[in-house]
Amino acid sequence: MTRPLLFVMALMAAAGSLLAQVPAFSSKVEAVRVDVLVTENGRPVRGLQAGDFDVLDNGVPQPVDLVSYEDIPLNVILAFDMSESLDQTSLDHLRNAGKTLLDGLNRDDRAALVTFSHVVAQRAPLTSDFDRVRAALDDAAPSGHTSLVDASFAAMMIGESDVGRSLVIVFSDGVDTTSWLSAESVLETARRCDAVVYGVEVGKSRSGFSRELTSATGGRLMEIQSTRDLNATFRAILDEFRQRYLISYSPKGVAGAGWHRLEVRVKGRNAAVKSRPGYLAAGPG
Amino acid sequence: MPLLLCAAAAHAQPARRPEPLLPADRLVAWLEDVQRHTPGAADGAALEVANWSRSDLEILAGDIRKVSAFYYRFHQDRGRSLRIYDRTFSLDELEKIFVGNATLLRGALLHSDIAMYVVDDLSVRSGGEQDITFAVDDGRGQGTRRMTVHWRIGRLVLDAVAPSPKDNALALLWYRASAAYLLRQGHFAEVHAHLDIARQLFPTSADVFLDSAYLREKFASPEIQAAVQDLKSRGTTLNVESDRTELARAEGFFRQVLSLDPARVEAGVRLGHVLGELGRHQEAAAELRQAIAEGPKGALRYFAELFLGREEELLGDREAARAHFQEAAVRFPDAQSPHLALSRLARQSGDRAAALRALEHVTSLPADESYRADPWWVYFMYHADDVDELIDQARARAVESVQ
Repeated sequence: MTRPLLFVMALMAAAGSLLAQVPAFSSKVEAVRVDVLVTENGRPVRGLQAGDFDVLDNGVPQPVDLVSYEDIPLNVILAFDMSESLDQTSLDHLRNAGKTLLDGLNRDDRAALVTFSHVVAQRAPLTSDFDRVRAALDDAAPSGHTSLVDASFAAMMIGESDVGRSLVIVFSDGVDTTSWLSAESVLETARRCDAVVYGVEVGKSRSGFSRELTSATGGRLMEIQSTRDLNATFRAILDEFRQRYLISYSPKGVAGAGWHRLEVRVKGRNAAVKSRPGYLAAGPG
Repeated sequence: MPLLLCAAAAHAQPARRPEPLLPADRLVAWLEDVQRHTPGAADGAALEVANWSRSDLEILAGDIRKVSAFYYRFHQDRGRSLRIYDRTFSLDELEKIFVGNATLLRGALLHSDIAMYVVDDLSVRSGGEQDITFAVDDGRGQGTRRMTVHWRIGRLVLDAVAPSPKDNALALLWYRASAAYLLRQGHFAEVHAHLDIARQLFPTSADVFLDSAYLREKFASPEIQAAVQDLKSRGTTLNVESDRTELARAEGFFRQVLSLDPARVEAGVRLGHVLGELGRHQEAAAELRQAIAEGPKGALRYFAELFLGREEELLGDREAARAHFQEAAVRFPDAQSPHLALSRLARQSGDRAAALRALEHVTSLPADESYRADPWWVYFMYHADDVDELIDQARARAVESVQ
């Protein structure tokens, strides 16, 4: 899998548990949860209550049942690109950044590690034993090609395997070359998924998939030129995620199956709100 | 780790000749080198010829053509002689070093051996812009390399086969063995031209068309298309078209293979994949069902089941899709792709528990690739498992033909 190919130049995501036990996206949509980041002048806005939010589901205002903030335990799934293109310096930076992020987790939080090349491997399952995750980080070594799409799907599903609020951090230094799953199919799954995906792409290679995936889940894509400041990038992601509100509502006056466009606003403030653009409720079958 | 243009074989630096040869002397030297060269070896004969310049080799190829034409026409006319430059060759003199098409096959093998085993022949050391190729790996450009001229010279030598290389069995064998080697090594720049010519010479060879179709399917793959975009962003345009254009070309070649040899199940499976990628799901499913009905074994059956699963899902039949993905999973239990497909299919249906069960097959697999086996990872790698056999066969035939 490592041989270069030659071409002719042609000059020629308590409350979380409670919420997560409610099936969100069956044909009977009983509860929808939306992870929301509210900022004003670039800074997170704290202390908002349910009554501060306007939520429109397909344009229909919805009564907000619950807003939770900060104290919900996190499931952090690290999906790290370990393809051969990752050089030793970047690998060292990635391991250090991963450990720094683990240092920032609370006792009730959990973490998992998925690495990917063409091989998608769960190196550590969701666990509060962060030393286990640290050791797994040290064991992983780069090799092979890049199955970014397959790994992103697996990481989101691991996020869904546990009641809790899931943050998926996908780090990659390249574009997908070997996934079986199509980008479109995984994006469709992402629209049904509760996990919030943050992407970190390093280098010049840009994956349209990562941008769409982070957008579909209400996360964010960080594009960085080098891994030198990866510690700060990962800390920023965790800090930002902890500033997010988890809103829950039971849809009223809207059809069940299909795509639901979501709009979340904060009443009486000129605040920027970042959340997933909608959700896909499954039909029968 | 990037590999270069040579196979893992003898690494020899060509020796330098003190004096340039006159054209007639070079012709004689070449004919003698062909005689003393042991096919498959980087021997003295190969090292000598490796040190000749591109232009000298091109002139030589023209001279070889004259010799071959003369020999074919007059080899029973003992009174004839051939004048090349300032030398005159009688038939008796010529027959000591030239025995018609068999010599030409050995000559082509000499040049392909140089291309395979001699590092940095003179044509690589002194090549121009037109010889630049781009190495790509995992969708990214990895720098430039220079191409050897010796594959092309091998083809020019075989152009001299009389009366014509068309449908000549020995020439076909060399073209097939060389194409298989180039495809296995990922030397796509060279094999592109090689197969263009091979299709003209051997229009009834299903093997040549299968290799051509494979190449185009490879060009349409995510890895190659990503590399094309990467290099384009750096101002370099490769001779690879868009994925849809390359898929359409692949379709044409696969259909040609099946028209020449309907029993080529691999062509049917790959055609099904190509049609699916082109969004023609009904056609793709029909092709794949037919291929499965032929009873393919091993990885080929796995691919067919995996591809048909995807097509059935896209056609709206989730149960059929699930059945095919499960069939693929049964055939290669350590493969991640069918389980990822089953997990996504279940999640898409709203069955989160089933999705997680399917995913557990993947997450419980060992992280170490050496304990994993997913044929999908190598789908776009060259399909033939008889490359070395073909090369050995060409060499053996060459030796036999001059005895």
